[in-house]
Amino acid sequence: MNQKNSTKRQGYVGWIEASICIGSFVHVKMFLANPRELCQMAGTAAWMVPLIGVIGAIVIFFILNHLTATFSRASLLSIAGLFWGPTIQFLLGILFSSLFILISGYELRIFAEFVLTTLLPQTPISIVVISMVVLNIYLAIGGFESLSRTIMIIAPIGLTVLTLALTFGGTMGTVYNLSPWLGYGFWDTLSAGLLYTSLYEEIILLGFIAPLFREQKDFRRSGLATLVLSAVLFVFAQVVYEMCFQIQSAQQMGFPLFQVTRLIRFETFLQRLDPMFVFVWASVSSVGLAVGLYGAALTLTQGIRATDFRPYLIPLAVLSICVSFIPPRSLDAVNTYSFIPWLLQIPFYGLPVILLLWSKLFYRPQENRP
Amino acid sequence: MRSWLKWICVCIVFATLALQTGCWDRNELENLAFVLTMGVDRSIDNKIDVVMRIAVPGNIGGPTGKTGGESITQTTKPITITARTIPEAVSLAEATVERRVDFRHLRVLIFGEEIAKEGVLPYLDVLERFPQFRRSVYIWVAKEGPARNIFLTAEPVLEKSVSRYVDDVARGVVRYGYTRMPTLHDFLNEVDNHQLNAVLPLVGVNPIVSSEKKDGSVRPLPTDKYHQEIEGNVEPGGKTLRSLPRSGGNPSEFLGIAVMQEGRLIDKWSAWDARIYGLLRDSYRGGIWVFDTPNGKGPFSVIIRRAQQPKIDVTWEGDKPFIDIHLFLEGQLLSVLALEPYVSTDRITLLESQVVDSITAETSQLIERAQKEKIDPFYLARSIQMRSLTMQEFDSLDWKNRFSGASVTVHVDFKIRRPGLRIQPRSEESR
Amino acid sequence: MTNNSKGANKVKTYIKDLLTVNEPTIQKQFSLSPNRPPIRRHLNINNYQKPQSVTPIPSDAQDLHRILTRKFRAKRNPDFILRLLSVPWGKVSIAFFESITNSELMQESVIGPLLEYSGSIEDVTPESLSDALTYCHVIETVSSIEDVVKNIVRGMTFLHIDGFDWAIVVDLRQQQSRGIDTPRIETVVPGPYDAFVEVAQKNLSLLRMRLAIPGFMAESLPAGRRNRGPLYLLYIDGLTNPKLVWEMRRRLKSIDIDMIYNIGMIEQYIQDRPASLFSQMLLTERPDRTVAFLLEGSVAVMLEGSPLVLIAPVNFWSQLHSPEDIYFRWPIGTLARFVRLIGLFISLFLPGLYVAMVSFHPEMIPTELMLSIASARERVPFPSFVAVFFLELAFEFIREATLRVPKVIGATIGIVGAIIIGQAVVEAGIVSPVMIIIMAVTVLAGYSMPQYSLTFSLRLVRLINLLLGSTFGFYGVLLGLVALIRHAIGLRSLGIPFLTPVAPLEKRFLTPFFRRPPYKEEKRPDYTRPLDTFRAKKVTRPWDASVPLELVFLNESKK
Repeated sequence: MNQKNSTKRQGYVGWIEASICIGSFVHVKMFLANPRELCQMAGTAAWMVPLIGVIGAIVIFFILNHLTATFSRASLLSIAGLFWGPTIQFLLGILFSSLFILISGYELRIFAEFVLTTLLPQTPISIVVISMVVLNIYLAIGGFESLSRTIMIIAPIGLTVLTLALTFGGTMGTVYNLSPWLGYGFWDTLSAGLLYTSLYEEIILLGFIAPLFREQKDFRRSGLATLVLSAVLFVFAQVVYEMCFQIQSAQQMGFPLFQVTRLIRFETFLQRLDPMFVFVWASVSSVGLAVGLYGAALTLTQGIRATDFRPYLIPLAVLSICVSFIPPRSLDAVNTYSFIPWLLQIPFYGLPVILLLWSKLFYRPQENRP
Repeated sequence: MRSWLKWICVCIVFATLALQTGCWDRNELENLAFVLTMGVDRSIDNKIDVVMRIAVPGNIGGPTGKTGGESITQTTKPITITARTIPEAVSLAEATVERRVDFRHLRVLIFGEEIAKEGVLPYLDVLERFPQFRRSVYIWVAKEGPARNIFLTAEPVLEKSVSRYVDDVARGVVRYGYTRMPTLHDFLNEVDNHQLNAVLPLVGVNPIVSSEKKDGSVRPLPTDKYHQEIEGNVEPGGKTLRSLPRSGGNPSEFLGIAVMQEGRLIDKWSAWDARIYGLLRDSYRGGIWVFDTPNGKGPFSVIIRRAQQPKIDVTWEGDKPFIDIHLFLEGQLLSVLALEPYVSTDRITLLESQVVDSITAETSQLIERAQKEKIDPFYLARSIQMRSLTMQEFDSLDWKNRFSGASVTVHVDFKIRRPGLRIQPRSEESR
Repeated sequence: MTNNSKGANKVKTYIKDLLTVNEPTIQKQFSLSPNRPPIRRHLNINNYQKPQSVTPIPSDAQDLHRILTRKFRAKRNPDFILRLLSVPWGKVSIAFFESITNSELMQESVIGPLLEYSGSIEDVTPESLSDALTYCHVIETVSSIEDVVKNIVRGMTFLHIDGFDWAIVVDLRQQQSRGIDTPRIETVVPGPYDAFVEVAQKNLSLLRMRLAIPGFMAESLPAGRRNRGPLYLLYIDGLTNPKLVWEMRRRLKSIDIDMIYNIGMIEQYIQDRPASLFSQMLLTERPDRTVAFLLEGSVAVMLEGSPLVLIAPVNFWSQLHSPEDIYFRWPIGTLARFVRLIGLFISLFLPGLYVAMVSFHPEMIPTELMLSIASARERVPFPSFVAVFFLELAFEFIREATLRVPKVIGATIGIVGAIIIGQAVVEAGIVSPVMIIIMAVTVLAGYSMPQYSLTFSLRLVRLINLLLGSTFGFYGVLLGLVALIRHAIGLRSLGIPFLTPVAPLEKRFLTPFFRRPPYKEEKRPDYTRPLDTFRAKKVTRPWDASVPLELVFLNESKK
């Protein structure tokens, strides 16, 4: 009874908000160098890669769903703590927190490089990074509630502008550029697709915010909606990008989607609108980066069993700034960031799988737990 | 207390951020010199001449209704810098132009004939790389001589704004079809596809018109002198690469296309060829054509529009491709000079078959010419591309070589849909 | 379970509590939404109302007169009337303020009946006396001097009969007030033309004129210490969520100050986030609007002496709505709402975006326009954002000046402003003409907001955006936009999220933007959690051929 009361106070998150919020985190990479990398990996069939990847991600998500259903939507780290004790939980918390910081730090750097290349060529990069991090802290300090509500205001505008930009961009391209249809061949495409299951690895964050969902149904819906939404947008963006650029160009294009919007022109007035598009995308990205920061703080909090994640936001944000300044050149940042997710999917996707296996094989719930 | 401190900290951070600015990227419009068009020419000593036409906003016409500049020579000023690369030229130009040179409003880049023959791709790298250049600028190639001549002589008939002039020209191309005006983006996409040749529009300088221009004013030639000048030009305008017989107006004329092989100009096609090219490449949308009537009494004119995409079928017999091309066109009758009663359901087919015959002949002729030169600017490989599965397969196609040995059949489907507001012309008998 | 093990358990939990700071996360103990305060503080808010001491009313009239004379400084204060009336059956003391008492009413309903009273002095009880005063409706018996003083300063008339230790007060007040006028701030073209005035009684009558239900409550609460008050807390019993009423009452009761001059002060005391630039409540002078909000489940506060009514909870979108939207047909209302949304955006961002565009991203402006702006700017020495600041300041001066100057010369200000802003500034080359257009559009868009206070909030936010835009270009405006949204979603109006139903997403989240036809709106908005959800029958157009007959039958049978 007491527990029920205490949970009642905390409030819940709606599944639409949660999926758009996590979706924005998943999506940050699309505005960065991701479409180009996909083209390098899979040639003209790059647009299939997110489609193949999402299948793997859905499988992983169903494992996660099953796991959280069994443990009445406890956080992954709490489940790990239940199985293996607080020490492991502590270590896992530190690990995941640092992984989230790694991701968001690199994304921050590339985002700043993006802003520098597109909008503010002569502004020092530190100004962009720091101002973005300050904004991220402000967004994240209100918790998932504020993040999800903020994105709910931005998302309609963002999605509209994204769709408009991509549709206009698509009219500039030709469908011939999508062929040959299988890129470097069927098996190459398939293996690239499986490798790029990492596109959706941020979905693991759902496992950490699982206690926020009112019902398991909401959790499942939210995860599937995130995956479907991201997959649709990834594929849409990739198709438009490939239609606009001959594959040889597409493999060498800096900031791919920005280049697509730069092509848009209708008559004399409707042209050169790219700063406007960048503006909207960057606002979506800023929420996405804030979600990354929040994820880092949350996993750390859950790992060390603290009550409040907010005190960790600022130190972690400073860490993410440090991470963002590790690569000396933007080229290094992009290169490192292109293979980090491949490695990260091992812990990110591995944890729910191992937890599920453990719960099936070794874990017996105690009968008379208080 | 804590929240108070927090706010102070936030304020200090933002204040320091804000106070440090004042420079960086803020440039008021009056501190920038916008380059609207740019030309690149081969200069002496293995350098290049970079011609920049800089907009002079002060002459454009203020808000108080004072009349602005009368022509583009007053609203813009061309400057030429000789340097090794375009960036070097830009940086040298900064030393002479008072304001900061800015390329964000660049509309067109013109290459001289000589440098086009050497290859334009090295100079396009900076355009792809530097964010101020956009992939939506047009690329032109001078038909003869350096691009600088075009800059020095260009004198639009109506426009006094350079950017609008360029836009108008590009829009006009779609209307008459005598050339094709790809943007940098289109051009680079075509360059990257190794199975086709890219094309660029040719910009010619009409010698008669440019000779009429003296000291900034145009004084048209007297008629008999004009007729002397154009004597010996038997072919109709646009059929060959020769300049149009005309007087007055803008010396620049946009007729014909330059066929490029890996960024190098290898052939120049006339305006008529350009239209056929447009039909095959599917960039043609409409234009006025003139054909002889079947009995040879006088030509008739029709507007020909593209009805639907051309259909290209490639079948293989061993290594030899058989290419079957279907063009779908429709038209509207404009004039029948011979004043003969062709405009009836049974006789109008005579005109139609005349059109079909001559377009088929011209097309076959142009394709043969391309086959001889082992080039394919028509992108006939597109149907193969749509049917191939892997990139390796398509890359190893070696289409240009195979195309040269291909046997090509052309079918034209043409109907004169509308005769206009008059049915039969006023015939000789009825008079 | 035995006693022993219970004790052992207790010790165990105690040690556990001591060692672990918190419950493990598996019990969902960490708070994921820290904005929600878990504790309600229990305050004793009724303290100050208790009288410090109770002085009984002396039965002797002379003593009473001495006390009252001292209390009200009657010698120096001729407005205070203290009169000893000798009637055949005894002596009656009457005390009142002349300025707020209707003397004719006094003569007719008090003096007359007292003179005609025929009982003996021994039988007089408060009941019999009030029975005798048949013309008076509000009669109260008082027994202490403090009560007497409180009632007299409120404008009541005090009656005391010599020899008794009780007295009565009767209501013979005469409220000086202007007549009911047309709205001044919230004018609409179609719709009622009456507005609230300063007298709460009249305002209540305007509301009661519209609301014919017994549940419409006007709870009176004490206003400030020296206010005559009272504050009225308006709600509809049985419809408004009692928690809202409770919360509003609690907040109102906590205001312990000297004087509440206007309802705007109350807003500052009771709003959820006073540091915000945005007003989280709604002030209206329109009775129809008040009634509409009451019926949507909000509560309202009315103050004697204030022609405005404070409404909470409201969402942000209602500040963009005007009663007109409802009175017009729905397509027109929807269009108006969209226009206002665009106006909101323009008012917030246009100057910032313009400066960002001109000084950071000139590629966005069409070349000809850009060159023409550049040529206009050739003669202007200041950077664009200085010009925007200058114009903003100038507009502000004009606004202030037109408010302050006497009406007769008001037109002069307009002319001076128009000449200065419209022409001289451009001619002198301080700002460029495009800038004038931009600022004019911005200011107009700002004043298109139906809620007056929103206009001022927008202006402040706009300045911040302008600063950011002129520092970082579009990136700065982006920072401002996201931070603004983050701020707005954190706001609450009487505990209700301010941007609901959009964030948090609820059903019918499009209502702020699309006004649906009224016959389709059968439910009240969710965000106030009303007790009575439906405001209309499912089928309100049964005669319409497009309504399926089954629906009509089903609804009939349900009844």
